[in-house]
Amino acid sequence: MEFIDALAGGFSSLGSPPIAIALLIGAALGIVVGVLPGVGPGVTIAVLLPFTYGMAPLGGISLLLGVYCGAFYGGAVTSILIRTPGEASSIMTMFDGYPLAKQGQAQRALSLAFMSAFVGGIASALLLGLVARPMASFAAKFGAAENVMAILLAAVCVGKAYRRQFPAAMMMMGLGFFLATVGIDPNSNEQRYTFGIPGMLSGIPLVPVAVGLFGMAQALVMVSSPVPQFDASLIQTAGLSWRGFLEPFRYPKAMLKGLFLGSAIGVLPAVGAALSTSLAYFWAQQGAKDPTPFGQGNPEGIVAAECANNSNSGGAMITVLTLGIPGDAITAIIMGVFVVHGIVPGPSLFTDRPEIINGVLASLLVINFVILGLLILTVKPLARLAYVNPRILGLVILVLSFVGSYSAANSMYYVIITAIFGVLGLVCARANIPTIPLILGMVMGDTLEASLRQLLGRSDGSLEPFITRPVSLAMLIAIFLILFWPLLMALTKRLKNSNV
Amino acid sequence: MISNKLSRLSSWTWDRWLLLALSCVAICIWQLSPLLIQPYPHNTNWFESAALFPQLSLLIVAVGGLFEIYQRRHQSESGESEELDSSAANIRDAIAMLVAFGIYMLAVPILGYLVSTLAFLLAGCWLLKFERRTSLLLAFSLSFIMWVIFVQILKVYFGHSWLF
Repeated sequence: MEFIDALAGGFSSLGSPPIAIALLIGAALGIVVGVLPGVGPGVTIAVLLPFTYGMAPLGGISLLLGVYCGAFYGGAVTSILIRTPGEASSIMTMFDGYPLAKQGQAQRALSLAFMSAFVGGIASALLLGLVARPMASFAAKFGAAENVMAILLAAVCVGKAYRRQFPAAMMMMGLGFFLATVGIDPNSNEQRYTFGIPGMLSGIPLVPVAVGLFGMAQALVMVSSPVPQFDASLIQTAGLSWRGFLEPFRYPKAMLKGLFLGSAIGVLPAVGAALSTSLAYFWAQQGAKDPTPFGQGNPEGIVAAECANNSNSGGAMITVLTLGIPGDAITAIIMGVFVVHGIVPGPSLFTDRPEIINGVLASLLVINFVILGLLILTVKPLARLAYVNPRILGLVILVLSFVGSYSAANSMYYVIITAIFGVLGLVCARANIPTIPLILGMVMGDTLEASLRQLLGRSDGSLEPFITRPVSLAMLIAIFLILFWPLLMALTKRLKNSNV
Repeated sequence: MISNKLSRLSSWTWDRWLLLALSCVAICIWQLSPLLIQPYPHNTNWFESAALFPQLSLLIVAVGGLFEIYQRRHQSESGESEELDSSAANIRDAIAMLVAFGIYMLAVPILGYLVSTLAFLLAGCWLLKFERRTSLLLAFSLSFIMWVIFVQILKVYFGHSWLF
C-alpha cells in the first residue's frame, strides 16, 4: 500500500510540465546518443550536468535518468544493424542480433531487443520501489563507523572491478578523496591546499571535473581517431514487428535469468551492466528453448542480454538513494545533481524529501514507456544516425564542454578546470589508468571524511568502534576477504600441495 | 651493479614514469602539508587534525601508484584502456585541438562568444580536414545556434568583449 502511495505521489510530481519535458528530452537524447558512434551516456550526462543547475532537482534527475536508460535501448540499434555496439553492455546483443539481421530479420531482432529492455527497465524500477525503502530503514541505523566501512567497501569493490589495475584504481580513488578535501575545511575553517588561488577556496567543483574527464577527454579521442568503417547495408532494413514485440514472453526463463542478474549486479558498485549481460547470456544458453545455436541468431540470447542490460538502472539507483554511494561514473554524476541542489542522498532522504524518492521511482517507470513509444515512432530515421561522423560530434562536444562548464558558475575558472581534467582524462586513457574511481572518490570523499572525523572524535582516536559494532565488523571482514582472497587461496593451495 | 639498475630504468615505459611522477607529487604534497594548510593545526590531536584525511588520501595515491608501477613491470606497453579506448587516436591531432581549445578560452572574453566559437569551429574543421562546405555549414550554424541558446535565451554572461 505504501508502495502504491509512493508511486502515486511520484506520478503527480511528474505531472509538472518542466519535469515532464525534461524527462522527454532526456529519453530522446538518450536514444540518440546510444545510436551515435562514440558518444555514450557518460559523456552526455557529464556535459548536461551543468544545465541541471537551473532546474528543479527532480527535473534534473529525470533528464539524466532519461539519457541513462535511453542509451541502453539505443545501443542495441547499432549492435544489431552494423555490428558495432553503442555500449560495452550491448556486445552480447550483437552476437545474436546481427546474425538475425543478416538473415533478413532485422525488424524481429530490434523488436526482441526493445521489448526485452523494456521488461528489464520496468522490473528494475519496481524492484527499486520495493527494496529501497526497507534498505533505507536498515541504513538509517548506520552510525559513523558503518558509513566509513560502507564507503571503504564500495571503494574496494570499485578497485577490484578493475582486476589487474586495482592499484591504479585505488590511486585514482585516493586522488578523488584528496581533491574533495581542497578548499576551506568545514570543521575548522582552515584553508587546505588552495595554493592561494581564490577560486579554490570553495573547493574543486565536481561539475567541471566530470565534464573534463568524460566530456572533453572523449571529444579529444573522437576528433583524433580515424572514422570507423562499417557495413551499412542493413541500416535500410531497420523497423519493428509486432510479433517480435510479443516474442520475448515465449522465453520466460531467459527473461528471468536476465532480470535476476541485471538487478543483482546493478546493486554492486562498479561491476556494471557489461558483466551482467555476459553472465545472463551464458546462463541463458543452458536449457534454452529455441534450437538455434547461440551466436547464430538465437532470440533467447537477445532476450537475456537486453533484460539484464536495462535492469541494471534500477539496481544502480538503489545504492545511490539508500546509502549515498554511487555504483559507477554515471550514477556518480547523477548524484552530482543531488549535491548541486544541497540534497544529501542516503537514508535521511526518504524522510526529508520523500517526493524526490517517489519522483525517481515514477521517472524510471515512465521513462521506459516514453522510450519505447519514441522508438516505435522513430526507429527508421534513428538508425541513420549511425552515419554521423564521430569527428564532427567530437567538435560539437568540445564546444558544449566549454559552454557547459562556463555556464555552471559564469566563471572561466570552471573552464580551466575542465581543460585540465580533459587533458588528464586523455593522458590516463593513453596510460591505461582508470578515471571513473576519481569521480567516485570525489563524490564520496566529503562523507567519508566527515564520518571518519566524527567517529575518531567521539572515540578519542580509538579505532575500536570499527570492530565492536557488528555491521561495521561484517563490512570490515568483507573488505579483508575481497582484498586478500587471492592470497588466501594461494596459501591454501600451497598448504594442500605441501601436505600431498 | 648501478649501470644494470640504470639500464632497467631506461626500459621503463612512459606510463610507469607518469605513475612514478604522480606518486612523487603525492609524497611532496604530503610533506608540504604544513605549508599548504593555513593555519596548520600544530597543537591539535592527530585524529582531529584537518590534515588527517587529505594525508591519508595522498598516502593511498602514493602507495597505489608504486604498486601499479610494480604491477606493470613485465608490460612493454600500457595496453588499451577499458574505459576510453584511445589506441587509434592520433595524439598530434588531439594536441592541436587542445591548443585550439586553449586559444578559444582566451579569445572568448576578448572577441565575445559568437565570434570566438565561430573561429574555434572553423579552426577545428580546418585541423580535422573537413570539406569546405561541411566546415562552413557546421561552424556558422552551430555557433549561431549556441549563441542564440546560451547568450540570448539563457542569458549566460561571457563578460564585456570587443565584439559581440
